[in-house]
Amino acid sequence: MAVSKEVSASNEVVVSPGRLRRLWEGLSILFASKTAMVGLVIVLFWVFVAVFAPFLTPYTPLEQDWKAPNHGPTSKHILGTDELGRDLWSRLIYGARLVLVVLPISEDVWLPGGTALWGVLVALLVGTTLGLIGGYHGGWIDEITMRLLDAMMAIPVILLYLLIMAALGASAVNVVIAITIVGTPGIARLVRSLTLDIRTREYIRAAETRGESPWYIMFVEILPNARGPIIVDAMLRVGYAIFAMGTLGFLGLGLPPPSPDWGSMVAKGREFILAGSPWAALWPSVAIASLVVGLNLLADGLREESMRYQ
Amino acid sequence: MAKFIVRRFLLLLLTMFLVSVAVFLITESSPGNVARNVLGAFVTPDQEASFLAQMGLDKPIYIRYLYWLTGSDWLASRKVGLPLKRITREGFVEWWAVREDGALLRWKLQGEDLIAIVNLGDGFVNEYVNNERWHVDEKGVSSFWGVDSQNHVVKWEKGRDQKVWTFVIGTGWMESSGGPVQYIPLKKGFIRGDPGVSLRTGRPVAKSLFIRVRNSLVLAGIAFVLVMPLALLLGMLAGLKEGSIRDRVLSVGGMMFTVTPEFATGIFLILIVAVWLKLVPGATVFGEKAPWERPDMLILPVLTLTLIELGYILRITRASMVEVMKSPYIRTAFLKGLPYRRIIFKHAVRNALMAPITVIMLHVNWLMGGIVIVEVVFGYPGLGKYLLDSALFKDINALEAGAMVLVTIAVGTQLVADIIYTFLNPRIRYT
Repeated sequence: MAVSKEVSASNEVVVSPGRLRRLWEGLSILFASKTAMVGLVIVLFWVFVAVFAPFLTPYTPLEQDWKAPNHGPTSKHILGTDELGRDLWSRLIYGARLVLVVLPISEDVWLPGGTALWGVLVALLVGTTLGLIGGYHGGWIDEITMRLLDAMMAIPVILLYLLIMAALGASAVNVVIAITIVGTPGIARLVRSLTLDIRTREYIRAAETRGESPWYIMFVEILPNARGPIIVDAMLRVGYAIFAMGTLGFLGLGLPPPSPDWGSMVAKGREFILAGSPWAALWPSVAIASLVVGLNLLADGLREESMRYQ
Repeated sequence: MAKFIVRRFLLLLLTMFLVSVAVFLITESSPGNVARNVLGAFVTPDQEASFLAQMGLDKPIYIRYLYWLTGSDWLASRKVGLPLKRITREGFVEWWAVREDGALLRWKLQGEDLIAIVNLGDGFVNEYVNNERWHVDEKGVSSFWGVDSQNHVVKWEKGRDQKVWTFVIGTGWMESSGGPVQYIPLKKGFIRGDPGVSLRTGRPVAKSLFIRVRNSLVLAGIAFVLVMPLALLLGMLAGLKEGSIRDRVLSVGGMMFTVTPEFATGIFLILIVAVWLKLVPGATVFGEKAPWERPDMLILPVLTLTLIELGYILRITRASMVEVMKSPYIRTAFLKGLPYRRIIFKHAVRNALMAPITVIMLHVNWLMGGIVIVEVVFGYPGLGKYLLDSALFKDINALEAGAMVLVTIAVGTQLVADIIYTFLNPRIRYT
């Protein structure tokens, strides 16, 4: 199967009905699994509110209503307000924006694609490159990178986060860097093991005989054939990244205040729980839990259904 | 096997070395400085410089790393020309030089005179003028390396006594004269069992760290004891019949608890159990008490950890059980007509337990992350909170020691997992 895919890709004879049918098959797997559908609905909900956040609330996430701090849900503020009287619903959906839709680089510069997504993307780039080089070249390059990555994996993740964030300071870009550093070793190992398997195939030998450069072989011959497991892994990693982003925010190492970061909202709201206003801590907790659970339901359902399919 | 263990042990040492260097470099390169954290914002440059010199923080980073790792007393002893001795009096560490006849000595500078202080034991001292120890160099400058009363080896120069600002945590500044021109703070070094003094609390790291590690171990231990049997049992129940209602409920439920961030689970539990049902306190305040003296405050943190870990182990056990139940030898057992109980308990369970036990050990790495968060959520005075506070304060000694403890636990459990695995599965040989 891998060979036939490779042939169609390298000869550039992609028949569009075939691609459509594959897409349809993929979607029917999705629709067949109830778990995946539930997950998809939750994830799509958050993507929707994140994309259309400015149209879904009359308030900005920083607007303070001094007359109503720490209020429960009312008709004016449907989810209530936090200790500064900021509307929790708008903070929540702008928080989703930070996770899924925009990466704030500085006060005026924003990149499309959420902070968590960028973290996974950069980790994928670095990890894949390291894994491909290590797996394809072998020898001392492989030995050194793998030993270093082993040592890195032995460091408790939370310690890595603490050190990186304490060193770099709290900002969205640094959250991306932290997620990248923590995620890279795992991806590199996965890609390396896939590469070790694929490089023994005939079409790699054919490419070598043709005299293709190592970079061409790594990125054009090997990588496309290893994409399946990498994509599944990446989906799970998006969940981890959101988890990590929330955790960093909760520890005060995430996006700096006053940005509506879910983790730091919980950390701030936690102080007022025992004082009788739990809303500011409750909603962001619900948000992050539902989004991560949704992503995992989706990934789980897909994996289960595709296994049954085979 | 022995070779394998030795190799893993060397990997542990290598990892610890790399982490300790990384912690030093990272703390160094980061913005903000520890002097401002300790002294506050309203400090004069002179005071800050004096403080940095006394703490040895003005030295280049490789010297500080060397002192941290191997101690500074061997070098200082060479400067003084006398052996140094560390004694503990009323819980405080004191360094003294040992005179040729065995008496313990310290010095101070009074005007142009060098005063030697002899330790007579029980806090009594005897002082005498000790000007014959001045060492005159070729430029005619008289200088002397000796031990001062704040556990430094210092260099005094005649006629160049400096103003000293001594900062005592909780008391404030003390200004005095008779200060030296160079300081070497005395310590034994990490590899000789002395992680130094915390800059944040002013107390020895080893003491606070011991209590913190103990508290964290209590928390993790109780959670572990609760989780293991429950998760293995539920996992096997779920895995008995793949795709059944029971399986779906257990594995989806387990997944939900596992992937939810610890702080969210903690908040939910506080809201439900502490605020709404008012059953147990929602925060842990131990004061001087040990955690087991207030078991009601332990309930929520333990419950949070349990929920997080439960789902993870449950799912691994389930996957392993499903695989075993599909294997030919179980089918054979059924076809032979063995009773159901016997097949499950005698044939399936033993093989199904192999994977989870090793994976649990590998999971310790993640578990520690969970503990840090749980400790912060509930204000539990454990290792994680200590590390977080130290990292934010740039308290290098505390941070290094805590990091070393974490790395040892992480790598150590992996080694244990590998060893257990070879016993459970004799087909595996490590060479």
